[in-house]
Amino acid sequence: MKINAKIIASTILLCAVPLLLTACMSKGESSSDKDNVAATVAEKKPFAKYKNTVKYTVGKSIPGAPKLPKGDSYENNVYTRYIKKNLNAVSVDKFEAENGDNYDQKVAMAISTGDLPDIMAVNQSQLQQLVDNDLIQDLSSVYKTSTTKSIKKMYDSYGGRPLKQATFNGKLMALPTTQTNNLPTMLWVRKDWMDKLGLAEPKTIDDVENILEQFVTKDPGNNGAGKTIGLGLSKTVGGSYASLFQADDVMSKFNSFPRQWIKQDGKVVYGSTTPETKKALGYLQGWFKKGLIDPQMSVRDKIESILISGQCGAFFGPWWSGDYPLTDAYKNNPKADWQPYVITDKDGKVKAYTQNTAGSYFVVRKGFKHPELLAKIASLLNDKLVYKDYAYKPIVNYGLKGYDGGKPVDLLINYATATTDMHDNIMKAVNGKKDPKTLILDDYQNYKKIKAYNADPANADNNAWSGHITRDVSTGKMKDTLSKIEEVHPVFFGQTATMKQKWANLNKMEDATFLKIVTNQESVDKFDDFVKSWHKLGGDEITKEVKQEIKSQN
Amino acid sequence: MNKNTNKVANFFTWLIVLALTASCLLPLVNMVAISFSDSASAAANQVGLIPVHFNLSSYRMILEDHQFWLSFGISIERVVLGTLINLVLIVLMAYPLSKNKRDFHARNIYMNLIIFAMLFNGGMIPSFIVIKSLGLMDTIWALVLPGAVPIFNVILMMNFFKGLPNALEEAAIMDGASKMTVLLKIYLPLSLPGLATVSLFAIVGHWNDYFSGLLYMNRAANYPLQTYIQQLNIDITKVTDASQLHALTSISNKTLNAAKIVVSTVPLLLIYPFLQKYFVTGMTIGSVKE
Repeated sequence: MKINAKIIASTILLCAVPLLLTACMSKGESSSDKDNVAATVAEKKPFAKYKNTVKYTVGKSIPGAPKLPKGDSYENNVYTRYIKKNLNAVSVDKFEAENGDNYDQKVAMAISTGDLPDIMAVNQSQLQQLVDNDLIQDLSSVYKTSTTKSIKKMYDSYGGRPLKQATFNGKLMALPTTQTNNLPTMLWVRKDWMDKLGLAEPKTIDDVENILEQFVTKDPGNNGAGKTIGLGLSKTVGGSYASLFQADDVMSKFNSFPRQWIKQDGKVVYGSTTPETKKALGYLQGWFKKGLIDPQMSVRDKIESILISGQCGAFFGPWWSGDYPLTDAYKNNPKADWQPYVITDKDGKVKAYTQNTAGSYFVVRKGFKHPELLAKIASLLNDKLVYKDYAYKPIVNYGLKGYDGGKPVDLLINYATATTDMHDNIMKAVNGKKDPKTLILDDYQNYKKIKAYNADPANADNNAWSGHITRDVSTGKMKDTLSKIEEVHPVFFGQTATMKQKWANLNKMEDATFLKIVTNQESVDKFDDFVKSWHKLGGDEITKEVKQEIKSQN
Repeated sequence: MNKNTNKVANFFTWLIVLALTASCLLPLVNMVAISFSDSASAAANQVGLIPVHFNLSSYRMILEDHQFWLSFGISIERVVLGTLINLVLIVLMAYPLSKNKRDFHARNIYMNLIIFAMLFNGGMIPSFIVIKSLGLMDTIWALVLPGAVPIFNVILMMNFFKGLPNALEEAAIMDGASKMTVLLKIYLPLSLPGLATVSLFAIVGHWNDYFSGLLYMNRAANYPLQTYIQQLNIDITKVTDASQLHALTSISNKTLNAAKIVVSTVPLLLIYPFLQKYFVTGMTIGSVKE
């Protein structure tokens, strides 16, 4: 008994020590609060320089492998110096973490300890959390005063959708990054195999089926009988916008838009549970049964490897597939002639769902004296740097040498037509209708690659080829198709309360069901069971919440 | 007859041991082969146990990667500092705990406390808040202090001390030695196998830990090596903007990442042979006491 009492007493004492220690430490005021005075009207103008240096802290997402020149850091590099020179503002990193899970975790830590950086990027659910807890500032007025006309035009080119996503009760709480919508994916095929077998260019999914069948049965790549793989397909099957190895180009032909909240006959439904999706999965199962889809897709670790090694003849991918992963395929075997094709309906139309036009959200901590700084940096980096200072030497050289990740606030805003604009500008320069020196940096590099490719296509290296196939060919085909695209706009992108608890499990069930049906481990009719349990295990509740949120948004 | 069955048994034992060894060794050999291969062949999964298109470009690139060497230095610093702190605290804690209740009255209380602390902890966010409030963020101390007393190793060492004959200590005390002298002059020299074992645990633990670096370091320049390597492993299926594309070429650089992993295992490979002879005895000593 005595010992027990002692144990309890010392346990309590031991537990109390850290508490006492924390209590003794004063909560450090953010250093930027003290010496910063609110901006004057003149200083609020987009490109106006502050009279006194403004210090601000940021949550910085970084690329996995650092690519900064020696001696530079994320706090002191060509971009931070550019911002200092133009605005007289200096950034201090509150934290740095790799873009993705690691960064999200740091943000979650910052929110849970209440110690936020002045400016940081958050995702949709974190934004909601910050708004609910009243931790960030209303940016409505600084958006008006401190962004340029071009920035406003860029946001407007999306029909106001990105800003609407960041608006709560009529207040703009964040500046979103923009994401363009166009032709999300195309079919990439080994043209050299098609030529060898005398096949015509594919236009519809029936043509695709025929080509895959010929590839698999006739082995044009000399992989050995039965070893050629037709279509490389992701384990998740479809529903990830403009990503590699999705089957959306097939599923959309059945009006199936998996993983999207869409309006069907006036009702809001989850695309993965519609009868159309059942049909599409059944159709893909038919391909799998015929051996047209990678027989090992459920255990395939890296689909890239079978493309590069020359085993696989086709996949669905976005316009940049020529940059990744096909540049390695070309390097490995320059005779592998990968070409993109747009697959249409019988009447020549392409149905495609659109993605959220807002990517991530940049927020300003409540209490920070310079909410306009975020808008000013956004204007500086997306307007002045792109359209006026594009020839600014330090940044040009920085890019040429392959350095990356220096922007303290990586807020990307561009026009909805950015991808096809890029194609137009580069091709104008290639055809001599535009001065190449007026191209922005990334475009200029690709312009040079295309020039190199055109000079000697037969002996072009993989860099020249990737510039040619993406900036000339695939984006060109995209441009020609734009008028034929029938866009399906998903009606909801956010996260509801019940989703937080149940969405992960529902997703898991969905992934497993899709994979099992496509790989013919289960019959198509299992889809009905999936839909039933989806509704029972939280789907009904979530659908109700989604409908409510849509109502409150309008 | 008997000899024959022995031979058959031996054969199968060897076969199983060889298979197990191969399953440990082959992934390493594959990693080394990839690091010496051409990047396109590596991306095509064509590299097995022998490099394809042998070249040293990955290692040349590592030499130029200053963050890699910075992180390498931080890891070495952490291992040296962390292991020293661990050893001192383990010994100072294990020695008194190896005495029985007659000599050390509160022994069981302390024992229960540390076992409690081994089984339960505050969790990630409270630990984070503690480290943050103590002002340890972004310092080497955030990496070495939270795990300064590895309880499992304390218990291992305690049992090791218990296994030493009590008469030695009694004789020394008769000769007028203080407790500290007994510990330093008698117990420690006799415990080298045990010390080697716990050092090895500590070194490997510190070297391989990536998560605390991720949690407690706010600047990428302060990452220890394994944290740096952990974040090189990226899976790319989606790009939202053309400006991100030129980053892709380096992401697909499987050979460079393999080379970094190979270099990162070298220090441990160097340490193992020196500690291994102690390690084998050390693992079993202390497991059985009289």
